[in-house]
Amino acid sequence: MKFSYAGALVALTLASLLSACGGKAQYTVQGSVSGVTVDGLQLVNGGQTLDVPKGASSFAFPQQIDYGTEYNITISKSPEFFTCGVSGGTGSAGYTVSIGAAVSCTPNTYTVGGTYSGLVSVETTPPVAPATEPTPTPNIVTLINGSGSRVDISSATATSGTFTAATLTNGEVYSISILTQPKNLTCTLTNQNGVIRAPNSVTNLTLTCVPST
Amino acid sequence: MKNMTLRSSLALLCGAILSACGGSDGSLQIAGSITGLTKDGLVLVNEGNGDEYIVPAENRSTFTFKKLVSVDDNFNVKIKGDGPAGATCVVNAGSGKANVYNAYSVQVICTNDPRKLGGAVVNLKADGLVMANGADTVSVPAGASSFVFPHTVGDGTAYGINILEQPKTQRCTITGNAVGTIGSQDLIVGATTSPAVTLTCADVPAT
Repeated sequence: MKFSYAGALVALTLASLLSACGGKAQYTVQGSVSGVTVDGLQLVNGGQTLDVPKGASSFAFPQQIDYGTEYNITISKSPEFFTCGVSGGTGSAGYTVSIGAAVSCTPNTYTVGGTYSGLVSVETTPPVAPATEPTPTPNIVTLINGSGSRVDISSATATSGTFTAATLTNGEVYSISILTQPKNLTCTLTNQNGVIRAPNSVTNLTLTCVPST
Repeated sequence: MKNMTLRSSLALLCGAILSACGGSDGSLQIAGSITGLTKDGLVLVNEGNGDEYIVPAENRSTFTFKKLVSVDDNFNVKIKGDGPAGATCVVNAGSGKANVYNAYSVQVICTNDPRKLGGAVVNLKADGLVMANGADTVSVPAGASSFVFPHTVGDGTAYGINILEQPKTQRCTITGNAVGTIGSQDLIVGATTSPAVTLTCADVPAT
């Protein structure tokens, strides 16, 4: 009787040991994160969600998955005014030594622009045969956003219309200047300074060109 | 006699074959990419064989040396002299024994030399003034006699200075070169430099 108790005990111990190590290997659903400069990123995998704080360079879901379990990491929420994507977010646990998805976020961009008028050509280019009429020479005004972006607006496109002077992200300051004036015209710019307030682009700049006096 | 002719012609043939394979008459051309170059005056030299390449204005993003090199020839790409005025260029992965993996992937990286941009300020008695050069901004406190933008501007780069926010109880106006292209000098208040602009501020009459 005593002997069989001991035997049962050994068997039980063995069984519990076996279940501990004999179960399937466990995998952490994890990966790298880049470009998360603000809070608000949330990932989801198989009904589990994970909030990723700003500044994070990696993530790991708290609950591990078994060998052979399919995983599918997707973005359930991007930070406000950011767009995020996942690469290597789907697979089967154990197919690779460890799971390594890559989540990267980039800020959405917004344009700064407006309307222009009076940008006429003031010179002509002599005709080249078989043409008989001279062609208007493009007249160009160049706008800059400080030492950042630069755009040429040409009379060849239209004498009036819309323009985009800069493409920026939420919260960035813009400060547009006229780098070079067109020939024989003087252009003035209004509303050239401000701050990008997402989700709105800026469209209220006006560039008005008149003949120089 | 017959044997002699045969031998000598064999020797000639051998010589011809050897000269064909030897020397630097190879099949590889040392080449690579250039980034950040906006100026004339960059000359690359392969010190392995003395070959020089003058980077033309029409293509400032790639280069290929003319002389062919053979597998295992030593190559060592350097910037000739000081490089372009107002810029600093460096070579990455520019040397080794030539093979198909390294011969075409030399990197030349150029950066225009940084210049400081700023202005003088006259009669600023109130807080709140913010100056902008594009997205680069600087707050100028009451009592300041000068300002400098936090980011430098590369030699040869355009700038445009605007008043983003006026001080609370004053109005400032800009004189000087609010728009321009920075050259070889800083544009700030200093013993040997002149500021790009002068801001003159006046009290706003109470309304």
